[in-house]
This record gives sequence, C-alpha cells and structure tokens, in this order.
Amino acid sequence: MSQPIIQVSRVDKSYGTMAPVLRQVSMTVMPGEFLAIMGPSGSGKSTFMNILGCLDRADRGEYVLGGEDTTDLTPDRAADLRNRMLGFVFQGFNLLQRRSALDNVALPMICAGLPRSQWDPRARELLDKVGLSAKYHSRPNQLSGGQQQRVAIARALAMEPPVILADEPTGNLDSVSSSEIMRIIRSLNADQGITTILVTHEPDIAAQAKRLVKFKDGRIVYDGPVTEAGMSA
Amino acid sequence: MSMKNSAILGEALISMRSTGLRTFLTMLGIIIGVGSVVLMLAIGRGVEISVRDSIASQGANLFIILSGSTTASGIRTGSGGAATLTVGDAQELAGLPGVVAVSPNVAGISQIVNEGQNWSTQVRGATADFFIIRDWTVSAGALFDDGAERAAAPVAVIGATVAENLFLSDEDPVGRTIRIKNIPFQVVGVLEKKGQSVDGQDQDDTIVVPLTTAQRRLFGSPFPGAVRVIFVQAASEEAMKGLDEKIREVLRLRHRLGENQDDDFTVRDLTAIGQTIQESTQAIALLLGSIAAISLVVGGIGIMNIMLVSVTERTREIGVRKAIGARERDILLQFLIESVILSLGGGLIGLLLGGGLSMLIGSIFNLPTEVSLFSVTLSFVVAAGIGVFFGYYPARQAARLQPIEALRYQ
Ligand SMILES: Nc1ncnc2c1ncn2[C@@H]1O[C@H](COP(=O)(O)OP(=O)(O)O)[C@@H](O)[C@H]1O
Ligand SMILES: [Mg+2]
Repeated sequence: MSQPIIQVSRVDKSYGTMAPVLRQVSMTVMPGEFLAIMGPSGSGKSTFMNILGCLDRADRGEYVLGGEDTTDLTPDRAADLRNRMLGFVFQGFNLLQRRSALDNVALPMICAGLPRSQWDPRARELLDKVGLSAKYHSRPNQLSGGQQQRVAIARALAMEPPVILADEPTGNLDSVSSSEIMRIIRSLNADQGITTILVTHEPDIAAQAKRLVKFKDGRIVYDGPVTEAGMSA
Repeated sequence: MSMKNSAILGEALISMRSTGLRTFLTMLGIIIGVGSVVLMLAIGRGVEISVRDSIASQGANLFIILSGSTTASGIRTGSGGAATLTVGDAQELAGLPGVVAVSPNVAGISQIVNEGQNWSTQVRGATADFFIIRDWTVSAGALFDDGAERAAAPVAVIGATVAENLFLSDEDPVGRTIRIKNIPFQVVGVLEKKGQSVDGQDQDDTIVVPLTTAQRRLFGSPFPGAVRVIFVQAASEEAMKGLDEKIREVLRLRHRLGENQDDDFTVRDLTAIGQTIQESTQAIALLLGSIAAISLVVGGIGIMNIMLVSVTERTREIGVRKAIGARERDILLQFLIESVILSLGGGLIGLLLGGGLSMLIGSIFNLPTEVSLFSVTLSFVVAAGIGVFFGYYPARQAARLQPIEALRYQ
C-alpha cells in the first residue's frame, strides 16, 4: 500500500474572534482518488481547500502533503510546493487579463524557470488537449466562461502536478460548459491518475466522484462512498 | 528552480504596455530633474571653457592697469577716464621681479577710410610687447617692431574684422595705405582671428599702431608720455601673487599720492574676473541643481505613488501568480524592474531634453556647451537609483502579500 498523498489531522481554523470556521478536521487521501466536497454555504469548504492548497495556514493540527509537513513552510517553499504539487482550478477562473491563453498556461512553467523552448510547445499541447487549438492567442475576455475554465485547467496541468484542487469549477458555467469541464476533470483522474479534490454544490457533479466528504459548520459530517445517504447527511 | 530574470523583465514590460499616458506623466518629474542636471552640467562646462579661452586670449597671467579712478570727493571718474599713467610708469613696472612684459597703451575710436570703404573702430597705440602679451601673431604680413616704435612710423596692424570691412575678400591688405583720422598709415600686417572676449566684444575689431605714432599723430597727449592703460604680464600664476600690491606701491610712489589719497589708477586681474564669472555661473548652476534635486525627489515620490496604485490594482494578479508558484523574489523583482524602467525611461528622455536644450542655449549664447560622458553616466545612475529607492517599498508590499488575501481581493 502506498503513502497517502494528503494527510490532514485535527485542523482548526478561525478568523479573528468569530466562531471557528474549521474544527478538528481530519482527512486522508490516497494517490489517484477522486473526491467531492459538499456542504452548505459558509461551512468552511473553501477555507479547507485553501489550507490544502498551501495558500493559507491552519491555526492548529497537521497537514502533510506528499510526505512533507507543511506546518512551518517558508513562503518560498510553499510557492515551490504549489508550483510542483498542486494545480488550482477556481470558480472565477483567475486568468491574467491582457495575456493570451498561451501565456496564461505558460505562467507556472515560467515561474519554474523553464526556457521558452520547453514551455511554448508544452503550453500548445495542453491547450490542444482541452480543445482550444484555435485559441492560443485569444485573451480571456475573448473567450467564453467554459473556454476560460479550460485554459485554467490547462494551466493547472502545466507542471504535471499529482494533485488538482478545484473549488466549484463549474459554479459560474452553464450546464453544457459544465459537463464539458467535468468530462475533462474525470479523464484527468481516470486516464492520468491525478488525485482530484472538487468542491461542488450540485449532486449530479458530486456523483461523478468516487468519494464524498460533507462539511457542516466547519466539521466533516460524512466521509465515504458517494451515496444518496451521504448527500443528504 | 526559480523564475529567470529575463522572464521577469518580460513580465514587467508587458504589464507596463497598457498604461501609456500614466507612465509618461509618472516620468515627468524624473525627466525635468535629469534634464536640469544635464543642462546645468553642460552650461557650467560651457561657461568654464569659454571664460578660460577668452581669458587666455587676453593674455596669460595678466594685470591690466587703468588710469584714473577716483576724485578727492570720492566720485569715480571711471577707469581710464583721466590719463594719469605714463610710459615712465610702465618702464619702472618692467623692472619689478616676476614681470616678463609690459606694454603701455593709448586707445580711441576713430574713423578709418580705405578708398570708398569706411569703418569706425578702436585704434590702439601700443608698444611691440603688446603682441607678446596677447600672444597674437599675424595671418598675413608682419607685426611692427621697436624700430617702428622709436621712429613713430605711420604703420598699422589691423584685426581680421577690420580687414573684412575695409577690403574685398580677394584683396591683400598688406602694403596698402589706409587713412586714420585722415592721416595715411601703411598696413603692414593682418592679425590672426581671436573671436569674442569675456565681455562679448569682438577682439578682431581693432587696429594697432606704434604707441609713439598714436600719441603724436592721432590722439595727442595731455602731458608727454601719458597713457591710458598698461598691460603687465607676470612670469607665471605663482609670480602674480602679491604683484598687484607691488604695482600699487610703485605707482603710488611715482604719482606722489599721500596716505589719505585714493589710487588714481585701477589694477585689474582678469583671472579674478574670470573667477567671479565662474562663481556666478556656479550660483546659477546650484539653483538649477536644487530644482533638479527637488524634481528628482518629487519624481521619485510620483513613481512610488504610481507603483503603489499598480500593486493595489493588480492585487488579484499577484495572488494568481503566487498560487501558481511565483516566489517573493519574482514578484519583488517584477515591480522593481517596472519602477526602474519608469525612472530610466524618464532619465533617458531627460537626458535627450537636457542635451537638446543645452545645444540650443549653446548656439544662442555662443557657448561651447557639451554633454559629457560624466553627465550621461550620472543621469543613468541617478535615475536607476531613484527607481530602486522609490520602487522598493511598493515592490516589497507586493511581494509580501499573503496569497489568500490577494486572491480574495474584490
Ligand atoms: N478572510 C476571512 N475573514 C473572515 N471570515 C472569513 C474569511 N474567509 C472566510 N470567512 C468566513 O468563514 C466561513 C467559511 O467560509 P468558506 O470557507 O468560504 O465557506 P464555503 O466555501 O463553505 O462557503 C464563512 O462564515 C466566512 O464568512
Ligand atoms: Mg466557497
């Protein structure tokens, strides 16, 4: 049996003096898992994803990512971890405006110090893969929401990370774009074995995952197979 | 594993492309500041060269003694107003230690005629030493010598401007006869061109005749041997020190001036005049320099301001960059490069502007202004320094943003 890729133990998080947002959250994810996170609005899903993404830090508890304890990361070490280990897909796409699709996809590779001779063909290949061969030089504002999210997925894949974190990736999309994005995400997990953690409100999207985690008031209230019972927990 | 510097430079350039006018306005302070520095240095250098050259053209290590100075009531008659100096004074001054040449002069404006041509100019009666003191040679013909002086010969050496105005360009003035105050003089030589003096006068607009000839035939004399000016040349700059005091002692004694009587002559030191001119130029330069300094600081604050605005506007972009793995150094450098490009751009435009203006001023005021390698280097170093100094704080703000805060912005 291989090592877990993500191991979270009893994590707490609160903002200021308000009620804690995360309480004693623990979760273990094995490589290649496809996990959906559900829960009411404000239950702490995004806060949890940010901690998983090394964008934010837990107040207490432990988080081991790919065998590395993230408790005392320097900012630069965290940046390297995000660059190599994690691919982010945000609800709001978060592409750089005024930059071509190609530039956006290349950015993680440029940050890693790769020369143009390496990042340019790779960025084209990734855009081909998400069906945007004709859009290399389009700016985000020239693309539909679904196309922008596909650019964002191509960008997330640029450094071949073992983990993809997607916080409501279809939240801003119509149902057609939404199912196209889900088809791509499914295939990443099925064909390339990328560990995928996806936050969603929609049961039919959660149903495509292999494991379901439900949050309520900052606690995990369900962790198991995707079932009707789990959804309504 | 870190971002390449060339890639950071590229990112910075792309970010700046979108803000044309704002970028230019931000540069304005630096443009004015660097422009003033360049202009100041160019003009300062031009004045220095021009003062040095024209002092040298008057004669090196020179004292000019002018006759007449003040009346008993303290009213100045103006230098050269009353003839109080004599050839005898000059001869005695020639004996002072450190003196290498002495030339007593008289001078007056006279009408000169050559056949149909008329010209009014200064006619100087001088001993032959005058040419040694002025380091002046002829471009045609010859200078007159002591023999002509002793014989009070009616010969004249004419300046280039006079030659141009009395003779056609294909005529040779040497050997021709001109009339000064209707008295015929033979032109024996044409002086080499000297250009303008410190006070902007055309030094070539002059005629020099032997002193004795001038005294007897042209200007007359209130008393025998009276002269208006005595030029005294010292052996060296070193030899000039204290010599003016000795000159005063000798002349006061010869003129029998009592203890409570003022000098009836004035001793002028051209080097001192040159220094005064340079000092006032330096004062102007200092003023320009402080304008430049203020401008540069204001420009720097402008850059800092615009960079802070830019950091705020691009908070989300910074968040995205951090999320996908940009390090603090990458973000810091990107913003720092932007501010340095801003200030260097301003520096370059300022340099061109200052250089252009100094050329314009140089041609208007006939100054040999020059933009030296030093001022080019200085502009770039100062501009880059301002970019780094005033850009550092905003860049650090950007670099230190928490990725999650930056992503959540707006
Ligand atoms: N930066 C913050 N400052 C204060 N409160 C925050 C901050 N981020 C999130 N919260 C609060 O934490 C709670 C959980 O938020 P979030 O994790 O975004 O929930 P979800 O993604 O499940 O809707 C909410 O009540 C929210 O208001
Ligand atoms: Mg959320």
